[in-house]
Amino acid sequence: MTDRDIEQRLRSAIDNTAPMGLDRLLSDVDIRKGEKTMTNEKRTRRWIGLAAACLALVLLAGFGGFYYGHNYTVATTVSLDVNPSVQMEVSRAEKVISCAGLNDEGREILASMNGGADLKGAKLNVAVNAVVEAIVNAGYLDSLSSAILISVEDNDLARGERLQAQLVAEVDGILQTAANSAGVLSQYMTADKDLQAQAQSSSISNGKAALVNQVVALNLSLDFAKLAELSVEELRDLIRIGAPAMPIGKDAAALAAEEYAGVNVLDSYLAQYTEVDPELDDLTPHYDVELNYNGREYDYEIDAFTGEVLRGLSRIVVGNPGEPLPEGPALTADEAFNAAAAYFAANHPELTGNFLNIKTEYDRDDGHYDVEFWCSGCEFDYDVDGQTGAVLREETDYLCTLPTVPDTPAPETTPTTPTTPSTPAQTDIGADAAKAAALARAGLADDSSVTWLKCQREYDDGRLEYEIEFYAGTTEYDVTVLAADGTVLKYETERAKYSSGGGNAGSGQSGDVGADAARTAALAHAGLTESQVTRLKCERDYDDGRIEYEVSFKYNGYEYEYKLDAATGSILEHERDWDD
Amino acid sequence: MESEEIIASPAPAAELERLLKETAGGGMDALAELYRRTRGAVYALALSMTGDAYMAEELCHDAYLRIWDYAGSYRAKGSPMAWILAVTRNLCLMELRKAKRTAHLTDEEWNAIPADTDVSAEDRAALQTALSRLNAGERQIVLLHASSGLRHREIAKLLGLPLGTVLSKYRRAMTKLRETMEGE
Repeated sequence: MTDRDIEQRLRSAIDNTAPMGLDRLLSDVDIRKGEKTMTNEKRTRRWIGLAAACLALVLLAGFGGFYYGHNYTVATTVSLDVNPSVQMEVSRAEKVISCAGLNDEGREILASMNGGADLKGAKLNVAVNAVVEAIVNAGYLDSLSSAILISVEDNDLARGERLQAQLVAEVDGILQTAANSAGVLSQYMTADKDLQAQAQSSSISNGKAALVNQVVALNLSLDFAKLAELSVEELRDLIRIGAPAMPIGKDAAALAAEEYAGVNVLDSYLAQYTEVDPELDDLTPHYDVELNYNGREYDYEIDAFTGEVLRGLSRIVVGNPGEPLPEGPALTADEAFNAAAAYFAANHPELTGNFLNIKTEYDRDDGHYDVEFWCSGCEFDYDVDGQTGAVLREETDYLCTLPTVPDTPAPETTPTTPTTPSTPAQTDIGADAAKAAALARAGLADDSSVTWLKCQREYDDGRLEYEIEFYAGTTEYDVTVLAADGTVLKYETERAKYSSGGGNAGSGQSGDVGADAARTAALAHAGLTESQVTRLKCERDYDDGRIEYEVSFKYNGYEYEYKLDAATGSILEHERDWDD
Repeated sequence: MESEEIIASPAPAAELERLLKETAGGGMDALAELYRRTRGAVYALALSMTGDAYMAEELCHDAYLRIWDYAGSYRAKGSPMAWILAVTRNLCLMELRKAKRTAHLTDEEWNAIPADTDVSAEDRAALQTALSRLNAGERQIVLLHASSGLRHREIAKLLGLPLGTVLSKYRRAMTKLRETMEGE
C-alpha cells in the first residue's frame, strides 16, 4: 500500500465524516448580516449620545464640588500599549477626562478620534473599546505572537483591580472576535513619581515603563531608553528568555534584510513594504522580515541580537536599480518539469518507475516553479528557478528507503560507499574536517574553548551530512555540514538557558545523581520494574547548559522516553508513544 | 440555497482567493462554494487538534463564521488555504485553552466518529487508525497533508515546526498507518 493509497483513504473518510452544515452556516451568516448593520447604527447613535452628554455636562458643570470631583478629578490612569501607546486619565465616575497618544503610532491611532478629544467624557470601557478596535484595524495585532498591555494605575486597590479585570475582559472580547489570538497582558500599579519621570523621559506610558523595568531587573546592563523603543511583544519575549542582551529592534532588522537583499524601500518604487515580526522567544531569537519587492514576497530571518541574516535570499535585484524584473518566467512549465526530471535522474538513478501525478505550478511570489511528482511510491517536490531552470531545492519522502548509516564515522578523507549498491556513492571529508568547518563557522580557531561536542554522521535529504552540536562559553551551537565538501548547511546558536555557574559542561558536575538513579526514577515514574521492560537505555547528554540523562525503554507495545536533570534526578520531560 | 451534499475537491489558490474576495464583498454563494471546497481540510485540522467529533464540528462552523467576518482582512499572498487553516487553528487553540485541555484522549474516546455517515468500512478504519494510533503531532500533519493539499513546508509554517520535523513525523505516521492497514 503506497502513501498515496493511504492518503486517498484518509481524504475520502474525512470528506464523508466532515459535517454537512452549510445550511446552518448560511442561516447564521444571514442573521449576522443584520446584526452587523444594527451594531454600526448603534455605535453611531452612541457617539451622538456621548456628544450630547458632554454638552449637557458642560451646561451642568456649576452644580457643586462633589459633582466636579466625581467627574473631573483624575482617579485612575489607564494605558494601552502595543507599539502605539495611548494613555487615558479617568474620573471616579469611570469617565475619560483626557486621552492622548504618547508616541507617533499612538497619535496616529487617535487621529480619527480628533486626537483623543472625541473620547473625553466617554465611559472608560467605551473608550478602551474604540482605541483597541482602532489598534486592531491598523494591523498592530495581526500576528499570533503579538501582545497588548493594559495598565491600571490607581491608589485605590479595590477599584484598580476591579477596573483591571473589567478591561481585560473587554479587550479579550474584542480580540476573540478578531482573526487573531494576540496575548493580553495586564498590571495594576499605584502612582509612582519616579516611574512617571522615567516614562515621561522616554515618551512612554507609566505601564510600559513598569514593563521595561522588569526587563532591566533581569539584566542591569540594558539601557532603559533603548528598551522603551521596543514593542510590548518584544519586551514580553525578553522577559520570557531572561533578557540576555539588547535586541536590535524591528527597524534595524528590516534594514538588515533590505541591505542583504540589495534593495532599499525608500529608494525603490519596486519595494512596497516590509513587515517585521519579532520571534525573540524562539529557539534562535530572531526577527521574521517579509520584504515585498517587485510584486514578490521574500522572507528573511535576522538574528535578534547580532543582526546577522540567518535565512533569506541575497541580491534579489537584477539589472540596474529601479529596473523592473521580467513579468513572467522565462521557462515554460514543461521546461521546468524537464529540469526537475533531469535532476531526479542524476540523483536517484536507482528509481526507474513512471512519474505519476505530475503537478507544475509557477509561484509568482518566489519566482520559481513548484514541480511535484510521485515515483516508485515516493513523493518528490522541487523548486525550479523560473528564469534559469536551476533546481533550487529538492524535498522528498524518499529518506525511508535509504540504507542505515553506520554509527561510527568513516576515517577522514576516505571515500565512503553506502551499504547497498543501489545508493549513489558519496565522498566524505570525515568527522574531524567537519568539526573544523563547524568551529570555523562559529568563529573559533580551535576547540580550546569548547566544553562539550557531539558529532553525528547521517543521511538527510538524500545526502551524507554531519550534525555537530557543541558549547562554547554560554552559547550552544548546532551546525550541519555537508560531508561531501564541508559546506555549512545549517548554523544555529542559542544562549544556554541554564548556566551551571560557568561550569565545565562535559567533565562532571558536582550534583550528578548517576545513571542508575536516573534509570530507577524513570522506571518508578512509569510504574514498572527493570525486569518488565526491554531495550532499556540510558544516555548522559548535555543540553540547555546542563547535564541530562535520557532514559528509554519498551513495555507492552509502548515506547517510554524520559529526560532527567542529572543534578537533581528530577524528570524534565516524559513521553509514552506506540512503539513503531 | 441548495443543500450542501456536494463534495468538491480542493481548489487552486487563485480560485480560493477569488472566493475569499467575493465573500468579503458579502457574497453568500461564494462563501458556500468556499465551504464546499475547503470544509474537509478545516474539519480535519479541528478534529486532529481536539480529538472530538462534536467539538470539531462546532469549531468548523465557527471558523467559517469568522472567515465570513474577516475575509476582507485576507491579503493575497498566494496561500488562501494556509490563511483559512490559520484562522481555524487559532480558534481551536483558544477553545482548547478555554477548556483547559489538550487532545490526549484514550482509544475509546477516539472512537467518536459519527456513525451515521457514508464512510466505507475501510475508510472508517483508516481514519480511526489515524486518530488512535498516531500522536497529536503526527495526526495533524498526516490529516492536513491528505486533506488540504498543503505541501510539507506549508504545513511546517502553519504549525510553526521545522520542515525536518514535519517530514520525519509524516514518515513515521505513514509507517504506522501502513503497518496497521496491511495487518488488517
